[in-house]
Amino acid sequence: MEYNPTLPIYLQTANAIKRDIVTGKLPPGAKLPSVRDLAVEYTINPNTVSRVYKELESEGVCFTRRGMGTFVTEDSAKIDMLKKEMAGTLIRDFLEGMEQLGYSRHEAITFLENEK
Amino acid sequence: MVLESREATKTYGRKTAVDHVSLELEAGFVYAMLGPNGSGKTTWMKMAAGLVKPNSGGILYQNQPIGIESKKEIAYMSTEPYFYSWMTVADVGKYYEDFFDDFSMEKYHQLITSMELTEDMRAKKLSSGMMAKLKIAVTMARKAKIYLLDEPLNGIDLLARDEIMRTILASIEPDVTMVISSHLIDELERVADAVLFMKEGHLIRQCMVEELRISQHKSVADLYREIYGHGGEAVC
Amino acid sequence: MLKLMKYEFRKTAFSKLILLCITMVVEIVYLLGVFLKKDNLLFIGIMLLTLCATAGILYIGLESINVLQRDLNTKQSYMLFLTPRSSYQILGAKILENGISILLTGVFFAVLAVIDIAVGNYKELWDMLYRFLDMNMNISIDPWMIAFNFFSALAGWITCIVSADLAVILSASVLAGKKASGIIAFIIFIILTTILGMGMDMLPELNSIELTFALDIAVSFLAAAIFYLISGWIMDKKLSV
Repeated sequence: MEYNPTLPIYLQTANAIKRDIVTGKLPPGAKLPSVRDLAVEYTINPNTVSRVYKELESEGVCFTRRGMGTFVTEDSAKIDMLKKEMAGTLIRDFLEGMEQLGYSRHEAITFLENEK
Repeated sequence: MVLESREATKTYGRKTAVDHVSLELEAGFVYAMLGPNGSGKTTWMKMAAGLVKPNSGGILYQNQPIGIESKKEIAYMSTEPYFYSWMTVADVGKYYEDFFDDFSMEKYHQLITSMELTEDMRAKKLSSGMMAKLKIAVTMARKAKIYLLDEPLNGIDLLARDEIMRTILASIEPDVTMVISSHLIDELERVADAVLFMKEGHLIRQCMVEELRISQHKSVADLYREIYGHGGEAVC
Repeated sequence: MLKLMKYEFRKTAFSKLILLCITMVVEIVYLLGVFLKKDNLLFIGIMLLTLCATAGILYIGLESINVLQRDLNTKQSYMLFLTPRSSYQILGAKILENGISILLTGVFFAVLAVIDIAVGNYKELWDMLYRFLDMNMNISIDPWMIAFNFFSALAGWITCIVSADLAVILSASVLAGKKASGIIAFIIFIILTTILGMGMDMLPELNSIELTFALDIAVSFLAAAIFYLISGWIMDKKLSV
């Protein structure tokens, strides 16, 4: 995956995993790769991967079973919420961008509706 | 702290290759040692490996001076090929097995197979890319506490770089410390926990890379340009 | 230590094999001379065998100095100095392997000479030479004397190589990067061997020849041991590869 080197790698990786969770690529209850495997898969530092898992855990998106590994939450409501959160972030980013271009919120919505 | 450099200094004739370098390496971190050619990276690593003896100051591993005991647990990989000219890929593995208790022949076989090397290849006749793979394979087949990798990606095409980087990452166990030197930053940007910037024999800056990105939205490459490009002050 | 010696042997195995092959060819020439009663072949065989023995023993020593030189001054040095072995072990393995090689080569050629003389059946010639020397020059040839002389020469050669090793180590460590380090090292080597030679000349004649030679060999090896310890110490403290 392509990283933006000016943003924290752990956040970018966590977001990538969250996307996989909300799109169902990683279904509820699925086992995530081990720290080392994920590090190799994304060619990133294993310490960063540990931080990614800690972040996902603290957000309640994943949980760790001792000696078993890290798993995607089985709480589908949580995943729905995550999906909405991510949509919210996209919309905020969009609106912020439009605002910077000088469009009002109403004009921005019109743009959206006209977009095919 | 697993490795400590205390005012380590090495001069060659009138040239000071490493000039009073003091630093502390923590267990379990990946360090990128960056700097242009001739900035002292190789000489510092060779001191930590016990190949070069400092003129003053020194390096301590587990609070003991570098020596026989440290060589058992510190694996060094030099940029240049160094195997005997008569050796085949199999001989190189046998040599390491003969001298390093932490060497695993099984892992060596697995690594050379995945890197498409065969046992009967003559080390002398390997292309530079293949030689780089052989050096990485034999070094990472050791279960060392510290790996010092000097320019592991030098002179290698992009695909092989990825392969070597993945091999290195796959070998990192908890509490293993790694120092990877390079004058290429991009490859290490995602891999390093911390960067050590070397310039003209001095350690001029060190910082944690995620903190750099979090607090300053800067990439290591940005910082590199600040430090070496126009001599601007970088804050870590 | 044995593993280090194994690799030292591996580095010089090729030239030793070549020496063995040449010796075998020459031996065949000699044997043809004996059995076909061709004096020319016989003479050439004897000359070449003598040459093989001396040149071979000299070459094995010189090659070891060259290997040390490479092991200190090229990237190949990492192979030795990355291993968790002390400088004393690394150098000791080199000197032991080389010393044993020289002694074994000496023994090999000595045994070959004895066999060849027996095969040649020179009893008459031998007796004549023996009487001639005894009557005219008052020298008695004693096989033991020859053996002692031979082995004391070998011991002297080994010591000479160890002192050359010391010079090579000095030029690669203390003198590294300095102008004319090679020449200074060579001068040091000459001084060392001169002092050693003078010391050997001052050794007292003991009342038996055997004891005199034993002392001679012992002093040679003692000198070699001292050179070795100094070399190891310098490597340990000062050598950067």
